[in-house]
Amino acid sequence: MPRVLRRPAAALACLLAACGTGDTGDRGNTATGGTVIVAVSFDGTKLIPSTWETSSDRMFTELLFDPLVEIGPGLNTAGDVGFAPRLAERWSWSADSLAIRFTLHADAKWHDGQPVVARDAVAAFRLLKGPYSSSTLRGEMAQIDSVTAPDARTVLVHFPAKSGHQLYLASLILPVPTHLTDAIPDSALGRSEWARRPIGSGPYRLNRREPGVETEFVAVTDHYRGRPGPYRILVAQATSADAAVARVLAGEADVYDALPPNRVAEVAAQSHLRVVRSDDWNYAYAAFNYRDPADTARAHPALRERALRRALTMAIDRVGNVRAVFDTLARVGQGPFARINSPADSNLTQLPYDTAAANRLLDSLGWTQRDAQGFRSRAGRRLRLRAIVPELSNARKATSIRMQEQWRRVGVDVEVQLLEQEQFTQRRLNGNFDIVFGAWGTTPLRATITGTWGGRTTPGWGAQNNSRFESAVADSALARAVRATDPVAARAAYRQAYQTIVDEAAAIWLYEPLGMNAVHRRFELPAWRAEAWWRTLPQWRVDPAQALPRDRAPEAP
Amino acid sequence: MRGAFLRRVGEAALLVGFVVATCFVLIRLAPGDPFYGPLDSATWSAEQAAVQRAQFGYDRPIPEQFLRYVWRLAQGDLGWSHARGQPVAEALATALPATALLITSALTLAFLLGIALGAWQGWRRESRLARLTDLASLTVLSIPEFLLALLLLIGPATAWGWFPTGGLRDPYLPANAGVLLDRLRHLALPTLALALPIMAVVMRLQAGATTAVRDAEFIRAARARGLPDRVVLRVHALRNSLIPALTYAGVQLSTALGGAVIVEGIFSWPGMGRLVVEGVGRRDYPLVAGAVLIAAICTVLGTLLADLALLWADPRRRRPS
Repeated sequence: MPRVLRRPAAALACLLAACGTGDTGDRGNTATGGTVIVAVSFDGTKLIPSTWETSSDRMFTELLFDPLVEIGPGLNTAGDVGFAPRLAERWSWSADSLAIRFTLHADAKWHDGQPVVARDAVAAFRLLKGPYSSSTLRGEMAQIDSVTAPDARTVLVHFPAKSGHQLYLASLILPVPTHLTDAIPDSALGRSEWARRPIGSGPYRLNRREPGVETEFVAVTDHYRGRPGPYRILVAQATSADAAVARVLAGEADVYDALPPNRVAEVAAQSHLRVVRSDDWNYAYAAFNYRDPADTARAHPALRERALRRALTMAIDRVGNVRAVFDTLARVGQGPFARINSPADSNLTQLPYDTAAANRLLDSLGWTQRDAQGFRSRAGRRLRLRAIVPELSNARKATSIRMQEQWRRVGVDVEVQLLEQEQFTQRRLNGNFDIVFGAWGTTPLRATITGTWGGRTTPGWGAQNNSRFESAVADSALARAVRATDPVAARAAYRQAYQTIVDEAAAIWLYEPLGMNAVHRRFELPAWRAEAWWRTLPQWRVDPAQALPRDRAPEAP
Repeated sequence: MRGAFLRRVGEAALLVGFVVATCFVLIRLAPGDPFYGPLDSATWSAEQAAVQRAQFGYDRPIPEQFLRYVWRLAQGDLGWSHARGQPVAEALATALPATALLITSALTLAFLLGIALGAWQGWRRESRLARLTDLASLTVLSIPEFLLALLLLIGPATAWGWFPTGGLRDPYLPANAGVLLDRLRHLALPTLALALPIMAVVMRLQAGATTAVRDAEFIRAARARGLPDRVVLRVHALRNSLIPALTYAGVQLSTALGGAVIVEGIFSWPGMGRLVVEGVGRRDYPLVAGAVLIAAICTVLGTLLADLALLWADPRRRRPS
């Protein structure tokens, strides 16, 4: 975003927020109270910002802690359009666009009544970037140079270089109460009493917690953004997705945000429940290994050939597979992104499903001899590949079995190996596979793709590029895309990178599941935020006519 | 006698040590470690995992890790649970009572009802009702434990709404509702799921043993003395036919612990079984070691208690050989 436009855009964002667009909470709203019981199949274990790893951890953390600013529902990360003030009531850019100055809200305070001060943000950044950070955001913090506190209410975030997502990076910093954490060594913070019962600045405070069972949050009634709607949020752990669905069906829980596709119809048929569809951040792929599994220093004996990868891709009926496995509850994958990502591009040219063309390509590569079972071989060596699939993923399991049969029809022998999760991760990290059926969860941060598909020759890139895909063209386009501050230029560069990766047939893009959420009908909901639905919890309302006894439970002392 | 007792305790301690050491090594030999999970995240780095590993000493050789574990154990420190985000001792202290409640209820129900029904069935072997109960026990035995638990969850809990689908209690019980009744409602289905298969076995064992003593001389003598039938059964036949059921009880604690893993999972019961599954799945080394230690101690104690019960039931065993 051009610098000249940033100040007006920030001012506009502040104005919109102040006009009650829903971003600043609900000060003065009288329709408060009620209880939301959220069923989760994985309990959160990390409650503080520098440690979170899973989506449950993130939900806990974001209920307890407010950021400086928050990304808008449009998920734009370029410039500051759409961002809403949180602990920072306003912000401004330095002349060279390498620093953002945040002014803290005068009424912002910790749950113990102490005011939020600038050095709380400084400490949060230090912890997040430090060696003991177990947060998945730690890598992103390399793109922030430093955070300083010129005075108690001013936070300065410095960047080493301009990029298209500086404000978004700053929004990942959730200040921590230094009046409580200063006395705790960084190495011991994750196991400290404060980490287990955090004092935060968010709209909810921790009331009680039984790890692995349930965690109860209650509203901060004098919160600087106004009193949240539901008074109580109870996160209850179920042991599996089916157990969580059973709880929602029985009316014992109000929300479950990971409905398995095969349970959607059953939930939708209940009069007390509704199914909320949302976009999802995940996409699944079947990536071809560029390296020899026996010796990753060498190129893969067969899959190094681009034509073979393209033939294997063209043999697969991606549309039919998605339809068979998900019916209408997922979309066909289009590239290394989920459609919810702001630079996603659904107009890429895809390799067609064309078994005749696949057969011709395989013939042209010399895989012409056929054995009694119809499998191809070349120079006496059968075209045999090992695909690894995590046992836990029903969708990838079902898809892989269908694909195995589709490859068999063009004479390719693919052995599907179903692996326990840890074993799968180990094999994936070691490059011990020919084809890996993986899935990536993306984030609004556009640079995530450099870690998964970026070449390892670029410093900081490719840490999760386990199939060792390498393309100078794609890397160059990605580098331009990440640096671009203009959304149009960024989008064009991303498109080039995506198209190169698709043309190279680095992977077969399988599907993007739709988010299926079961929610009790007594709640009046704002628009569902796909990236973090819990962020709108303070704006939920209980219809008084449908209130349950648990909505009238007395408030905590 | 004292020497024999001390020898028995020594053997038990050795057994517990062996089980803990074996699990300690085996779980470390399995692929992955406590910091593998986030490696599935596109933004988590192997370098972060290495720092975490080093912080908890998982980068050291297994023998060294074991010696450190034993040293900390001697000081009463069971370690930190990565899966739960709390000390292992705390996690066990919460889970153990829940499992103890479940297993005690299940075993009590299974043995009391199983022995009573089995004794009656053996005593009235020819009656139609006895044959029907025999068929019912066979039916229960032929249903796998997990399926039985699932059927109980799907029917009485989810479809008919008679019982809660899981958990220990209703977190927001209205003030006028009975707490005890709420706890019993939550306990009912998991207990039944765990108890029914055990009860079916006990019934069949007890029925066979009762049939065997039904025509014994001491029973005929009791009848000849004019004692009522139910007194003969209760006072004379029952005690003499308890041995098979009590022997079976000795091994039931470990079997019930195994069953609890399934039942707790299905009914979201926050006990040891669930803890162990979670610990193994997330390669939470300290949690698995702590849970195995407690389970091994409980099993050894359970076997000891069953031996004592056998001594009570069979005076011949009290005599020195």
